[in-house]
Amino acid sequence: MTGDTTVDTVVNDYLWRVGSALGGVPAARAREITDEFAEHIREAREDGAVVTLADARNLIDRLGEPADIAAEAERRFGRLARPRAGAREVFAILLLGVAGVFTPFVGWMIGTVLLWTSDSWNRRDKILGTVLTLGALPGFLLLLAVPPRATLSGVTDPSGRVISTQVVSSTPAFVGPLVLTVVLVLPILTAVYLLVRLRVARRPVAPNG
Amino acid sequence: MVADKGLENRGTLLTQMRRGALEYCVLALLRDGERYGFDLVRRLGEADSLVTSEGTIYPLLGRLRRDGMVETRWRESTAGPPRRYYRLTQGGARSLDTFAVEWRRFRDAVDGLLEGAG
Repeated sequence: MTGDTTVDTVVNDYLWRVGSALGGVPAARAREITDEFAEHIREAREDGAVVTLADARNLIDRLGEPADIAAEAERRFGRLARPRAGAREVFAILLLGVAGVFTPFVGWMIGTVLLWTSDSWNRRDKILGTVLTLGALPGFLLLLAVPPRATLSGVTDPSGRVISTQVVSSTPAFVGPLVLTVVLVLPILTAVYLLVRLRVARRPVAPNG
Repeated sequence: MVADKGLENRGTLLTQMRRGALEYCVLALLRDGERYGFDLVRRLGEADSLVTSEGTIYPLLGRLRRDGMVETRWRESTAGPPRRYYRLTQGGARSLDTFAVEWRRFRDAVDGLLEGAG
């Protein structure tokens, strides 16, 4: 079964590259093409044309470079224009990036809605943008719920005076940085990613079917 | 410089001719009945110097479908899950017939001149 897994790996990697290369064509057309590629490879395997890893690589070579397929798709369906990010995209990036700190929950919710209703990102970007910023949903409440701090526990005498104290740490040391990463660092990195993807996400020059 | 430009133009012309003819070759392959993607693409790939990257046929198929030249439907397969079959529409068949007439006339004219000159 090792051979099967390797063929799967090679095929999935290729399909992923084709999907990425098709960023310049309308999303629905891009999805159709990647679906058809997946079917093509599946049919080749069912017909016994792809058994070994070499067969898989030959089939992929024959299908061609993702860039060539994307170029052909752009010729057939129209090329997409340069970025034209509007207020929607700017607010989506800002809200998702800093929601964990400034506007947990509501900020994340609005940011996510803006992200999904925008045409400037493909579905993969939208899923990543949603999943990676999930920490911003509860925001700093998460930090409070799992306090990365030690608590001071005191023993008092009957008059209420503290006669001894001890430091009790209730959470492991790694929890604090982990929560901080999820709430703060990941959303910021995701915002940067969305910003970069915005540069390649384009709109149709002339809607062409 | 003029010669270089001529060479470049000839390369572009051949690419354009191939691309233009390819869509009718797809229609011609479907004239005798429906075919699933892998089968259709493999047969086109077997034709000499017609297709360099077989994957580029799929955007073309998508275009033909949107233009109403071909249509698709899913059919059960004995080898696995259902397969998407492509078949010629009436519009596609008419378009193919027109092209076939024009192509033969064009081919005969060019052949006549080429052979006459040689």
